[in-house]
Amino acid sequence: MKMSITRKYLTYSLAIACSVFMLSCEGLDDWSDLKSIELFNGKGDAAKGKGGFKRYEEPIMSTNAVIESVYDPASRFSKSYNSHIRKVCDYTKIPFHAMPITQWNSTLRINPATRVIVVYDTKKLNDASVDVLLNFVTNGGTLFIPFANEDHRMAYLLGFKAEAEYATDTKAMGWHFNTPFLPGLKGKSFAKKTLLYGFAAQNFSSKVKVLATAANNPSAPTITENPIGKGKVILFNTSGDFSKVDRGFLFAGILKGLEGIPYPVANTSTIFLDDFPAPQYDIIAEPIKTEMNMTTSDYVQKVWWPDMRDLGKEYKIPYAAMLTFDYRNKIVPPFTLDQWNSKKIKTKEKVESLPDWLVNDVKRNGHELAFHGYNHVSLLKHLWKNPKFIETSMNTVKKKWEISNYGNLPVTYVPPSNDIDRMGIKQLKLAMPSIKYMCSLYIGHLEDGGDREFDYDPFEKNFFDYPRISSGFYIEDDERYTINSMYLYTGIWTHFVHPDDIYQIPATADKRAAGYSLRNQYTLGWKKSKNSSKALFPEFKNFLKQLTTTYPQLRFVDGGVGGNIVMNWRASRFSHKSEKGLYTVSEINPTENKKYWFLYGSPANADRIETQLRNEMVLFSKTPFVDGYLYSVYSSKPKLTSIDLNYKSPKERAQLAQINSLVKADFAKFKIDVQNFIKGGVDSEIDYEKQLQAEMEALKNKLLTTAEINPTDWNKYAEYMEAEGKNAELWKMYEAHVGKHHSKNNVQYSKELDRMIGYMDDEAKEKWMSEQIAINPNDKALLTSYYNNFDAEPYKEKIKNVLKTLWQLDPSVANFKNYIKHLIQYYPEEALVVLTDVKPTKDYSDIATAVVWLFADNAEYNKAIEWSDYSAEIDFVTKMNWYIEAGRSKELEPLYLKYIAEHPEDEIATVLMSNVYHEQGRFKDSWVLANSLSNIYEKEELRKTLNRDVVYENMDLQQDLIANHAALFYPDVLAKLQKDIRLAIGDFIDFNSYLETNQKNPAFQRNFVSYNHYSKKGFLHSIGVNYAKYYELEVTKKKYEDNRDNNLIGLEYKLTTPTRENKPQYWSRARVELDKSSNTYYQFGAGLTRSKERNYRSASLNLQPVETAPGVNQKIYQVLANIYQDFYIGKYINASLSFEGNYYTEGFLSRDTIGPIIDPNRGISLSRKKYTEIGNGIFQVDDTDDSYDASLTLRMMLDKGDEKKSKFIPYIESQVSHGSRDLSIGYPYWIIKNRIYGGGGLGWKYTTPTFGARIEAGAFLDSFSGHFERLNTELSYQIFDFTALSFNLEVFEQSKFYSNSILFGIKHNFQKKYRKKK
Amino acid sequence: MMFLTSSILLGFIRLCVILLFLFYLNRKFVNVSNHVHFLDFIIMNWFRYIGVMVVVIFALVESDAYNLFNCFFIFTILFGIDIIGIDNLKNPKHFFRTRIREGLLTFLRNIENKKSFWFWFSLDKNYQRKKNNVFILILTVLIGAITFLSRYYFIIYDNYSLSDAWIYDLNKVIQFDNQYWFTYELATDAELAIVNFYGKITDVSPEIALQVIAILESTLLAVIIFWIINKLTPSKFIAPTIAALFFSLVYVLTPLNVYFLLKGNPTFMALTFALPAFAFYIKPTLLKLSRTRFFFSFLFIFITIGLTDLFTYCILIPPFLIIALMFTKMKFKRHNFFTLAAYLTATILLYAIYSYACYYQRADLLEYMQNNLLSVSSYTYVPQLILPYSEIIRYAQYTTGIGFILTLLLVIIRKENWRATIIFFVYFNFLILLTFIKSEWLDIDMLNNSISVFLPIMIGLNLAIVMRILNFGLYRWKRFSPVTVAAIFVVMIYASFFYQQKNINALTVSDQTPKHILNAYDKISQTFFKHSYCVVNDPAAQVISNNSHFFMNYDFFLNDYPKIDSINTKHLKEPNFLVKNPQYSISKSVLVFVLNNNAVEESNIFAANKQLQQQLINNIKLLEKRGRKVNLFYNTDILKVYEIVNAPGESKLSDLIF
Repeated sequence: MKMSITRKYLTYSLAIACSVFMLSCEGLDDWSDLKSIELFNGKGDAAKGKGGFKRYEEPIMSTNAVIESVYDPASRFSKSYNSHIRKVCDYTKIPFHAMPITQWNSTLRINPATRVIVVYDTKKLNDASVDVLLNFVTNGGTLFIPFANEDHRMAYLLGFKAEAEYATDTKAMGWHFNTPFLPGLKGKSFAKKTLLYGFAAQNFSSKVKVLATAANNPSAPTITENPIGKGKVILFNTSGDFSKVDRGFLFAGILKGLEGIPYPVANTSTIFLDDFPAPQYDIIAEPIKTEMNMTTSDYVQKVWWPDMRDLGKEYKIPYAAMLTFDYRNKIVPPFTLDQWNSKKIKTKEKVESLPDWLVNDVKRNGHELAFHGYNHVSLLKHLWKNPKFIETSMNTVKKKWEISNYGNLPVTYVPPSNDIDRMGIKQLKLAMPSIKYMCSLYIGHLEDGGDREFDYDPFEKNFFDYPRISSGFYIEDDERYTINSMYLYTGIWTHFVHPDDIYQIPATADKRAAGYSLRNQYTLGWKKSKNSSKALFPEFKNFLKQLTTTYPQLRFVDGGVGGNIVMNWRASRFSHKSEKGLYTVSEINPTENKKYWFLYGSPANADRIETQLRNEMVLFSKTPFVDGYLYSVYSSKPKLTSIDLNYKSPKERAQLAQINSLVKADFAKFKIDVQNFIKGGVDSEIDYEKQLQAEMEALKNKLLTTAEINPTDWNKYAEYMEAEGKNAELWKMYEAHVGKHHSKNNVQYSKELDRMIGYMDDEAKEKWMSEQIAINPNDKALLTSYYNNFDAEPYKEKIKNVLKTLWQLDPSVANFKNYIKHLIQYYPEEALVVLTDVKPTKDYSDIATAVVWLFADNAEYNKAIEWSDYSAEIDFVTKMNWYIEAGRSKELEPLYLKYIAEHPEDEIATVLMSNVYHEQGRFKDSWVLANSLSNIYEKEELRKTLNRDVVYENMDLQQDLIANHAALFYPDVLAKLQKDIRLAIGDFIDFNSYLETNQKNPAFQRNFVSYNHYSKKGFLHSIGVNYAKYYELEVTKKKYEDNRDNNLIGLEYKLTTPTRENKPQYWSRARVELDKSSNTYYQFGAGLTRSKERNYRSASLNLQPVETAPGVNQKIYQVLANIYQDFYIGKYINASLSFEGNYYTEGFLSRDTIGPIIDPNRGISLSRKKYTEIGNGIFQVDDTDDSYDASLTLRMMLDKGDEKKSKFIPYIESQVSHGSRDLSIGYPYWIIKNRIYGGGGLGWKYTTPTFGARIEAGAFLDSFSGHFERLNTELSYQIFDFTALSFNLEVFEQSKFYSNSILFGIKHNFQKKYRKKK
Repeated sequence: MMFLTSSILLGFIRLCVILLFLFYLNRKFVNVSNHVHFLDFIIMNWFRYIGVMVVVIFALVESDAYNLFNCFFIFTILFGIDIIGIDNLKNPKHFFRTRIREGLLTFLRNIENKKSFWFWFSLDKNYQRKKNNVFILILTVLIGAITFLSRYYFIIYDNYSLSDAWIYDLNKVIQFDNQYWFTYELATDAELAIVNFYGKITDVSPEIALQVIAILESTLLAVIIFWIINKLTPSKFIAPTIAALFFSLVYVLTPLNVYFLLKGNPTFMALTFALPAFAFYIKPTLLKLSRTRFFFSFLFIFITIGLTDLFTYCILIPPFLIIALMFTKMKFKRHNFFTLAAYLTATILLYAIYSYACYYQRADLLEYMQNNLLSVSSYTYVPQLILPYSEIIRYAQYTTGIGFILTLLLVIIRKENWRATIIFFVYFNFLILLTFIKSEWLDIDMLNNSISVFLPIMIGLNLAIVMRILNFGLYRWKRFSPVTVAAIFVVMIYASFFYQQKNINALTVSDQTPKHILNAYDKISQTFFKHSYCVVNDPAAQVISNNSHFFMNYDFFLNDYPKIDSINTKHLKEPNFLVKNPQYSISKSVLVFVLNNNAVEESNIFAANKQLQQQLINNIKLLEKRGRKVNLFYNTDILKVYEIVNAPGESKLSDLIF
């Protein structure tokens, strides 16, 4: 009782404890602490995302602005341009200042750091501004005017003729880039249908450089550059307006004035796969129907995605795949996934939904899984009547994400149709907090989700916007313009494509376009088109090629990574500093060292800029831009120093003063000319200019008449010509002079002339440097300079010689490397020859990779391996392949073992090694390695091969693999092997029942059951119990007391050696038996069998009691020897020869009664006869003796020996035998003296995997019985997988003694135990 | 507008009649001496035989032999074995001899004694017990009826009918007749198997059975809640009634999704098995079974739960078994371990079943498990609540806290047994605790869903405690309890009607078209022979025609049918023509669904067909002109169904009878 009370209290105490715990929790208003509890492998990281956000403010205006914008707050477009340029400066980190036009007019102050002044409408500038601006430009500044407005005061600055009439070109439309005004777009036209309304061509003087013309009129200038003094005025000759997409275009105009000033860019390019993976349908639609006759789902699965995946690999693009789970536009719950799951795919391992399979493949290939919405309904207030359901729908996605193990929840989001409003953004953040980057459109309307910057979202500060700029597979010129425009000041390209882009064709436009322009408006095919030479995929590939060629440093990243990089770039701040001729841009409080930069350089300064960049130890490349280059620079420091082109040495300052005065004079003259023009003519008085002309003419004559160049005179003339802007003329003159008077000195002067006025262009420079080299072939500096300037394909031959000479002059490692690098690039065969005898060392590590690949590409794998030791970029797997190719697989093992110990994650190496083992025949090693792999794609192929081959391996190995490395088996292969093994060497129980009759009377019956065990080494131990019954013989004439029934029970042990191919198999057995009267009998036997391709041989020797009742009762033993040989005579005759010999021990053989014995002693000596008188002189004669017989049988069958299901086999057979006695009645056993029989018959053999039959019928002529007929039947049937029945029958039809026999057997194999290795 | 689809009510009434009849047979011939009342009968047999039934259906479907006859045949054998008892089967001769002899003797004795006519039909002789049982019977029927009607009212808000989910479910229901259990997806489909079976025994079409299953689940749950409180607390009528009515009538405090009340809820279905199992686990004596039968009853019920809802099986049951094990009486521990053993055995069997199914369908078992533990389509949306959901849960927790203290007082001072109440309190709080755990294996929405069943139970248990305390003073008025219960019914129905009206009226009434379409289908299936007619409708409705009638979509009817009709008519007198050209045969009746173009704007898939009205009518008129007889078979403002009679007097049931 007490006990139960105690228990009761204990129970209730427990209840109290539980409740206190529960209730104490309940007291909390917020259980957020508990929320952090994660059970069962929770994926809490999903919501946290990668790192946090870096916050930043819009940069304030700089007091040392490099760009000054003078704008009119009252003008909409002036304000708009001002804000676009300001935003560009925000992106490019270039110090910017904006000044209202009124402030400008009152101060007219320009900061010394300012390089570019932007004025939208010059009309509002006061008159004094013109001189200030002219002074600014003359001293090297750039005035950028993006708007053509008639302001006569600006005529000189704009480069107008004095007689200009300010006519407007009313027909010019669009822009055509004569120069690559945006990188890569030289010769392209844009906005072809937009009227520009700029100044007509006749207004401009010939001094003006035309950078772009109208798209419809190559003589109508649309972008002009008027060089004045050291500076220039850039005019966008249009009175149209620019918008956000044109920011880069505007910036290109400004950038001409920012030569040498680097600016950091994000350098991220992201390709979004919108609506992929998404539910798939079996619809056949054009143009894929015509091209491939595939359903949309097959197209996406089998064509589109594999192509895109390969493209991604080729260009190292990690895509952002935008998952969408439903297409039914459902806005009320339940939000199910039946559409997602409706299309299935059957892989080797399982059946799964096609989109799931795609998701996994996307993930496996390293792309980002991003989010496009539960369905394709944009998150807009008017579409989602109940905004709470947005969260509900996303909960479905979150659950799906977890269930299907997609990994961390997505961080990147693209709004369906790119539309999302304020409500949608707020709900999105609530419903899917993992999202960090919102990727709608860069252009468009803010309220609908577009018009985003690379900034925090205006509606939700917890999203960073990473908007997209372009889309589609076929990229038209306008789209290229947009892409390059943005790329110029951000280094960002964001592009999206859809799997169904191809289906948006005019034929089905109404249903699908939904107000957007068609994504395949030319009805192009995917790889080939019906009516066009173009197709979407090759076009897109070409575009990628072009883009990556234009920007060699372009870097592809996925949405999440891109968003993060851009966010950090946006948060970074930079300082600009000019000091001692160097211009440095450096990050303030840098968090990361590596930076990407852009930098503009004109051809005149390219050398200096590049030399400086080399000094900075940065990687750079250049692409033609306007009339110069846009340099892409990668620095490993957060700063970049370039040359300051504004810096002037005292000498240059003096020159500048001179230029200033010249410009002023020119301006004064222009004004007079204008006045004269207005008055009606041009003043023809001899003036200063004429005088100057005369002086120059005189000097020119002097120069031309003096054969050998006098540098002083020439230099003086060069100064004049430069001031006149006639550099080209001077070079022509010089060229003609040298042509006429070619001398070392004259050629050498080209160097001086370059110093004075610079080469005209790269072509001229190359020409003159070549000439210089020709006269100074060993001038190292010259050679080096040539190399630095013209290391490009057109000059490869010359560069080769230059480098070779340099190397010969100075056989340093560096020179050798340069030479080799060049050879590898352009003359790989020569490189091979040069490198043949070069021993790789550490010194060559920077070219080692290239050398390795050179050798590898030329199949010199040993060399490649040798060199690869000095390259860090050759992965082990590649090396392994070379070892294999070089036939050195055997050396691989130690290398692999060492490598894999350090890089256990490199499963591809393991795959390869496994293949190597397999080829080397080391099947087990191959298998074990393959088994150790995780479920990577390559494993499957290997697994397939190994599973195919394992069935041919020996059974010991098979068993070992099953026991210890079973995971790699395919279930069906495993099952088959286990079955085969079980059937072949599984322990079995065997039951045989055998009956022998003499004619129709039973003579002997034996039942034998045995258990058979295979030992580890393959020996078969059989232990069996035998029960035999011996029947009394029907010997009608005489009665014998030993002719009575008997039965024996015995125990037998048999040992059989293992089966080995082409080796005989031996066996031996022993048996002990007891009969009813406890008499003991023994049996012993031994034998061998051997089968070899088409022949079979066996021999056996048995000692056993004679198998008849009298024999047993008398204990007569029989020694039975059998030899059998089976062989082929020719192709078709299968012959067998068998010998059987019997020796019977002594026994009582016969009894007879005879009349009185004439001489009782006579026969004793002749035989062992015993005479017993039974009365009346009648004697009973008992004959006792031993005996033997032997027979030889020859049998020939017409049988090719081929495996056929059913076949008939005719045969002939003959036997001769001889016995020592004649016991033809069969007592105590059957033996006759001489016998010969022969005959033939027909057999029928029928074989299936589970059933076998052999039936034979034959007729024979016989010396013993005259003739007899015989029927033999052997049947075997595998009734269950592991149980087999057998049945043998032999019956005779003959008049005399004959024995028929029937055998019935059952055999069952047991499961084989597979021992695991410890 | 309330839709009274007659088959819904008819099916329900048929079920009730079947139950009452079975109850009568049970009392008259099986449980003659055990005085089982109707409620016990329902719960006990639901618990004991539904498990067997589901397993039988499962086995039959898997062996391609599922039909009503085979179900009854196998079930009868099992039922027979159960009634006779396995032990008696060892010596059947003896058993039948004694039983039959005993029965005959009783029968003869009653004849000898010249019993009255009604004696042969009457049940209880004990007046008090009879009164009590009748009271329980009335309460059970009332609670069932009120729950049924209460849920039925919400049809007007229903978004489930003819939705994608509905069509998907209906297809699964129909596929059982084609011997598919794991049709397309591997899912726990036992609930839909029960729908199919219900359709068969009450002779209603699968779509009607699917419509009614959720209402039946709720009705059954209400009755089970009543029974649980009745069995596990001292309050026999008042607390159970309030708890059950709370579940039936109170929507503004229960986290139920009113827009999908008609969607079958596998968790609810599984709980109808699990709740009685919980009660029998706490008090094994309620079940009065031998150990073997106890074990097997639990085994079958666990397998059935595992086939119905893995969430209940894996998440709801194990904590209860463990928590309750700590509190049950020592003498019940042996039974508790039997239950645990049954759970373990069921787990192994279910593992085998699902592993095989997964192997067969080449799916991943773990993935499948997770798919069923986390329902992507489940969600918590409860706009009708008057308090935020979290607050309601908090109040419920407060009440369990107070209730717990009061229970302890009763235990300590009065030495009363309140174990069951404590178990449920601890369990309920444990479930709440679970909702705060973040795991990829735990679906909070499904937990919330199950809490809507446990909430009324908590209320019932708390009330029982209050009642117990009040009883110290009010025991004298115990005899008035029927009056009190009646008063509670009246007050709760009144209150639910008036206090919830505002919140419920604020809900959006669902589209009418699906209901009219279903109504028309119901009427058609009651009027016509199977496979004698063809329906012209939106392709989405094609699933309804499976195993029932022919189907033609609008496109085909508009473009091809007139031609086929004319060819058919032309060769009407050549019987061989149709044998050779079966594509030109037409149904005896063609029923064309025509939606009214001027009806209210709706946004379901069917409503889009409104624009076809004129074309359809033109087509029908064309056929009429050719001499086909056309009847207006169904007529409302929204939907008209025209019957084109191709073979008069051959397709309707009435044609056969009259």
